[in-house]
Amino acid sequence: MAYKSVTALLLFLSLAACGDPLENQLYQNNGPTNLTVRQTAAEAGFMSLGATSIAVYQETAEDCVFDFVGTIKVKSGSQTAALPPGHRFALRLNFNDQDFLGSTTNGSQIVRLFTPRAGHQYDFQMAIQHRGLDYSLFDVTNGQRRLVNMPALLAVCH
Amino acid sequence: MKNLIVMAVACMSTLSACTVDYAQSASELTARVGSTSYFKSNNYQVSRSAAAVSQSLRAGANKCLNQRTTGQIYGGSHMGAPILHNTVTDYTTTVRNNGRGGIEMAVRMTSRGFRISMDEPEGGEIIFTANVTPSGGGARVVDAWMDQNLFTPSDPIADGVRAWAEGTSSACPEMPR
Repeated sequence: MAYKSVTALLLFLSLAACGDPLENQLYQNNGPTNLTVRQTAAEAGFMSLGATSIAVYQETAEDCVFDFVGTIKVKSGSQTAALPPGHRFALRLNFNDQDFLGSTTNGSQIVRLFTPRAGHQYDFQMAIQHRGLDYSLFDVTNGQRRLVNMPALLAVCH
Repeated sequence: MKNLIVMAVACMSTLSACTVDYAQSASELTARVGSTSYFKSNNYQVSRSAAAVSQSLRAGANKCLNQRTTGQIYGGSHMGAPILHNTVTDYTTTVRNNGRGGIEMAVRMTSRGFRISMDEPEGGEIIFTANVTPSGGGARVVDAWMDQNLFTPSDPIADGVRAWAEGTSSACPEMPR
């Protein structure tokens, strides 16, 4: 159990590494699309723009051990992705400020767990607002709109 | 980053104020309110039940107050050129029943980089706390925080928590970077 804790801790600690080269590997999966990610606002501040992305880590055969599988970058509008149903993912939500050259300066990262269900469609909204940020995941299957609880990684993988 | 620059400038000009005794518990932080201008507090009534307010604060803390922020700040110089430091700050929040029909929230900040040079203990410090108790038909919230930005009249965390308590927003406050 101890090594799982260490693995979770290392994942958490490595998630926000500045200039992480993994950031540039886009998430790709040719399965059926079940997730739409929207950036609904991006008010980062003076001389900077807000940029959101989701770094996707998929759980391996071992409980609470995750491998990085790519980043969903959300620019204006929305981005769709296919997350294999029934698998647990650690999603690192990135809310970054970018300067006019596109370099990331400051940012906030929040890590949540998510297991998509087969046959379900999800709508993920991310926003950088004045003096804050926001995010919500909704299950929008069959026209419904139900808020999905995403537990924190460290609340589950002790 | 702006907050860090402001804090650095403030600390350079009032160095003695930066050698504060960093709070290690919610009660320690609350006890420091009024001792220096760095520690501030709100005390307000909310027209929702203590149970509802407590639930909102639990949900908000779970959603928003366990996160990492990264930033950059100039500090010191090398051969006349300012040195750019990367800062990494982790926030972890605990919420527990206070035994008086409500909850006590405590936000711990642990940072690496420039702030460490200002005597911050290795385990970080409690920078915000909020206590919810039943009051009349509603709830009373008493918070306390260590001011991160001397030039703004309010604190983003305190403002965000108040919005959760009043049920007007579930958005996350901008944490100091």
